[in-house]
Amino acid sequence: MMASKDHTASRTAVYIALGLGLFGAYFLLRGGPWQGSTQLHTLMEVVAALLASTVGVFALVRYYSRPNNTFLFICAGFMGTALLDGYHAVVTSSLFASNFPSAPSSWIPWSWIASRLFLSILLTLSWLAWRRENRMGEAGVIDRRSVYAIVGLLTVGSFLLFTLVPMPRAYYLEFFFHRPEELLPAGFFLVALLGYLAKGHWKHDDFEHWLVLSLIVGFMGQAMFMSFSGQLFDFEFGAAHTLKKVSYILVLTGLLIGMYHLFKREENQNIQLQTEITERVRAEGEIKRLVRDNELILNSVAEGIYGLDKYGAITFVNPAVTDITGWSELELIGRIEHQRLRHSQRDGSPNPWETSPIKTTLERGITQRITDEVFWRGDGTSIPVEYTCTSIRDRERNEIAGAVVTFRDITKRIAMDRMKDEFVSVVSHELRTPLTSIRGSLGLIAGGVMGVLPDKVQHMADIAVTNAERLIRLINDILDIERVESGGMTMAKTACDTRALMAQAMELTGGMAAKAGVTLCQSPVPVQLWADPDRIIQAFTNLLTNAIKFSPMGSTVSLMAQRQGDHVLFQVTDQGRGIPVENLESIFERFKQVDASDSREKGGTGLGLAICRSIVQQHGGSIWAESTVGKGSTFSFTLPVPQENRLESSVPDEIDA
Amino acid sequence: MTTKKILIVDDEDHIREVAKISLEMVGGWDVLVAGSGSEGLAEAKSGQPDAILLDVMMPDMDGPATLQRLQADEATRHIPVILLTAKVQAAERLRFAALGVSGVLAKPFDPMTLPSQVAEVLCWNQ
Repeated sequence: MMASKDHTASRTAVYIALGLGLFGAYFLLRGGPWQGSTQLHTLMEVVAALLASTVGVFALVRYYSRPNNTFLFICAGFMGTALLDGYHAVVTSSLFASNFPSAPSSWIPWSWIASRLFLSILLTLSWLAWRRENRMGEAGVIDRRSVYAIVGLLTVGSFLLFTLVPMPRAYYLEFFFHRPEELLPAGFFLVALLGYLAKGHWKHDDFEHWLVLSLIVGFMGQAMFMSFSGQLFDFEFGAAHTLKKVSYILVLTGLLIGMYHLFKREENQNIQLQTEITERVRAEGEIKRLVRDNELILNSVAEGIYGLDKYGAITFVNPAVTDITGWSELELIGRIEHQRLRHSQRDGSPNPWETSPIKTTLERGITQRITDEVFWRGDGTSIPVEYTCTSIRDRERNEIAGAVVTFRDITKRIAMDRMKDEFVSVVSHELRTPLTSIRGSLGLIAGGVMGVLPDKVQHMADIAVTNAERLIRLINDILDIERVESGGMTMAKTACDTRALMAQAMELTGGMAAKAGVTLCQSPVPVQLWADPDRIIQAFTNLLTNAIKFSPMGSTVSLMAQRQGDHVLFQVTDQGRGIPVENLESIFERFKQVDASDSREKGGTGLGLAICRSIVQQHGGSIWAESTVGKGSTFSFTLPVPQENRLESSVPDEIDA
Repeated sequence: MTTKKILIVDDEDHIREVAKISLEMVGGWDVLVAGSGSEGLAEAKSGQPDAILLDVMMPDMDGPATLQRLQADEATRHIPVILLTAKVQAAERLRFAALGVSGVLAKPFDPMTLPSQVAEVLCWNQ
């Protein structure tokens, strides 16, 4: 019914053309010789009655398909008009003419006016009723039974009027308008026309466009033709009757086009609705499948997963939570998680909510990974856990709506770690005990304590001592790397001064450098680190001994430190043979050396750099190497500076040789 | 410097022997030996050494237990003790240091430098 296209310009042109056309036609054709008859008039009015009833029926169907005030009055108006036109046709026929109290020249025009006046008033009312509905909404809807009743009464009243009351004369040839009473329905048609034009729906609504055309024809038929009719059945009389039927046909056309569009749109909407329903059914199926999959995943994972609202109350738990904690779902849902699971620390002392990692997640949205807490079970025992707490963000409100906690029971892992530590400890002891005897005995022999040895025996004893030392280093390094990389090596972190660490490393490697004819120099900075001093010194000495091993006699190995923002950069530089660029990454892997013969010739284990990397990483730093083959290498690593030390001086001390 | 007297307490015969030779012949000290914690306690009491080199892992009575008994006995409380251990983890070293020993030396040791290491720990070079 409602076409979205705007036809303002074209339709305005049509209305003006129609008005002017009828106006011109009147002046061209008025006073013509054409003369009708009673029979023709009866026939025309029968056709008019049939057309009006057809319009009324279609308008009724249209009204009930989507009720509104406009169509209520239009359908009632045309149904009533159909009755009045039928009545008019019957009472003006030669069969009944003699049975009425008025002369034909009176009651034929008056019964015509009754129909025209009735329709013009109802069409005017249809516009007024639209205004009421438009202004008041649902409250403005007019009760259809009242309209039907009034229309019925008016129709019956008209019938009785013409049957019982003699009509006054209808023709006043002495006036400019020979039938001035015709101007009354013309006035109502004009009011309805102006109303519908002001309403403006004609610009895009097909029905109202045709209705406006009908009103123009109705108005012109009354004002220009019938009002100038000088006698019954003259040209103006016949033209006005013809224009009446044209106006009915125009409304009928509008109704048919409007209903076609309406039903077409309904059909499209049905198709769209059906598509939407199909899509919704499919989406619901998909959602159900996802929910089922999620449930399956949540139910089958070994990790406990539970949700929290923004106040820390538990919103959901998976079966693993109840299995691990011993609390039932009913005992968890809706309860404050901290009070239920994490109220106390491992030793039983209170675990304050103020310092809880989950509070941090709920308040600041920061994901927390905790590895050293316990959860308290329903039976009062505790279980060591590691958990991750991730916030849930409500994107619409841009606020934290809650959190999800994923945890696992690490009792077995702790036991395994303990067993592994014991194993490492035992192996370490069992390997070192015989090695101590071997190394000690060889050392005493090679050292000449047991007497001076022949040269060849001395040489063999020295080889044995060197390789015993190498074996000891290898065992130490293997145990170290195992512990560092598994996290088993506790970093005994403490506040330590970079200058002291560097000085100790220089002292430990000084003898080796002197023996190799290599000069050591250092450039420290006074920065306090939070680190395990033994391990940092181990990293320094590993890098320095490597540098010394691969440096030619007479060259220099330097250990430099430099403050760079929130970290310290340490660099060990040598003037040795250098490392090919393709090996700069792999040398930090276990047992990876530039040359396979290095471990044999230089006595290395192939683990020193891997240990360095692990130590540096465990301190939150990074390590890398740069080198130019033939010129030397620089091994660099960074260590973070604790926040409170970042304002300290970054000016380096003078270079010490 | 007067000749020092050192008591070595270790359940391993060979280690005990190597350490004894090292301290006697390289260090030039008098050496007493004991093969267990209980023997060590008796030897310390009777021999009154200047220092005790005490192994950590021993059957029956281990190094820390022996140390506790030494510290509990009026007659041996004053004798400085150096633990000799194959356990080199930082955490264990810290634990041993907390027991009130003078120092901790690692196994395997270099017999040619063992006396100087002991002397350094006990500040005998000053």
